[in-house]
Amino acid sequence: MLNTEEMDDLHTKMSLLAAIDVGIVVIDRNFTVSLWNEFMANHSGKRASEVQQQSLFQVAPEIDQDWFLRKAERTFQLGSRAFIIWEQRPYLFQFSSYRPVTGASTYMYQNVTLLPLTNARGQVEHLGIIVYDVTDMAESALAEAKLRERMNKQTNWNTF
Amino acid sequence: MPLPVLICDDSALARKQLARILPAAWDVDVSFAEHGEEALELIAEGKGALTFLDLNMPVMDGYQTLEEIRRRDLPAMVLVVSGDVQPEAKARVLALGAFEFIKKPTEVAVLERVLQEYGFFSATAEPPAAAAQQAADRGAELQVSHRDMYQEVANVAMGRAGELLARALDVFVQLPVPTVNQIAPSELHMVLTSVDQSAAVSAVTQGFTGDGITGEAMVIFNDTNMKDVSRLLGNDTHDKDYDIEALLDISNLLIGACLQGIGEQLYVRMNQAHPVILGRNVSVPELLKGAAKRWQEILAIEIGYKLEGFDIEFDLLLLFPSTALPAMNRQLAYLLDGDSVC
Repeated sequence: MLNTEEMDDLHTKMSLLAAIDVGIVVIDRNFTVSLWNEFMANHSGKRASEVQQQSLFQVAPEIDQDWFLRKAERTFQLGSRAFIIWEQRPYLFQFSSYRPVTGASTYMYQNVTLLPLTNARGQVEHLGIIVYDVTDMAESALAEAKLRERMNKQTNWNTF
Repeated sequence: MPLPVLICDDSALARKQLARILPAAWDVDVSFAEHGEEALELIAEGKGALTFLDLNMPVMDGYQTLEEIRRRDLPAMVLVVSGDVQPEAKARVLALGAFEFIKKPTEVAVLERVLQEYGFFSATAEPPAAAAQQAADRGAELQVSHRDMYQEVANVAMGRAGELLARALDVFVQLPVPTVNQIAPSELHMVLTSVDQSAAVSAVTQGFTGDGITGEAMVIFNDTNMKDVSRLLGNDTHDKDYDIEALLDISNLLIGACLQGIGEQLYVRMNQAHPVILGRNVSVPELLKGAAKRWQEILAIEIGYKLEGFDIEFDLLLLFPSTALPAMNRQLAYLLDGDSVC
């Protein structure tokens, strides 16, 4: 049994995990979900209790299964973390943008980290999926690229 | 009579480290060589009855040295000590006549076990009276510079990353000698030897930081290699962004393993930012134009990887701003265990 101090400590950590504005998912070797934090629940509309012990691909059918299996398998096997960036795939989980009214995009752009999680014996049995909302960054990068393209067109036209 | 032992490694740090961890009670006469050619000369003089041999060295590498020892039937038992931890590297040196392979950085327990197993040293034997003093002096004459240390740390990290890459792609990765340069960011393009500078390249860069050591790791590819790499990775080459996919896969493997390797040697756990695409289908000067604006000097370590049997090369660059060097040197001091750096 935990004493009061340890309980308080655990409680603090659990509140932090819940309140943090970053998505945290833990899956096992069979891609079964074992942790789904509040960020994930709130953005997906699926509560942790609903997705527990479900396959990740059932919970999030928008994930390209073949592609994700390749990334995840490599992380499991090699034990080294992997990064997925929005330029590669705009998102892993299809969530609506945080700013439904003033935002330029419909969906949330995401950067994702796949973390191999080792057990006490040093074996990788779980994978942590960390989801960052990078919509603002992506929107401004895309706007800048568009602007540059337009300027290039204009300069070309001027040289005629 | 003391056993003539030769330590052959291009890194002064590696020579010194190995000399220091030889069992103190072992009656040996230690010589040093910086590359294979020097080693062959010393072996021919009878100074390398037991030779510790590194693999990735300039002038003559470990594989060539082993071939030459066999061809000339030189009197040396060879124990390979290398940061190249690909199983294929071990298989190759054993086939070339080395009797054992141990990985860098060498652990004292592993070294002693191997020496005992092959009968070079017995822990129970009575050491000669002067042995303890001799042992303390071993390698004392070797001067180690900061540059040597950066290079050796990069060497071990490069080997780790190479092994991961070899496993992921199922190929043999040819490892170079990492090059260390202290340069201005505007000179960065000059250190890139493994990418064709006239062709279009793509690159990602990833920031990292740990205990005051900050820097960037960059992976640079020639675009012509992208399709082959994608195939080796088992990726869909019809995907319109297959090049980004390949770039990210390779950088995830190389940068992750390299930073882990560096971190373990320096006793630092690194945080990594998300990778950023630095450029896609651009020239090298275009790619590095952002860096050229900074005036501060940087430490640049270049590692050019080649995949054997394929026409594929790419560069891994580890860049440290000069502000990161005091922290790095402080951590490196642990490797020398109190000895001063020249």
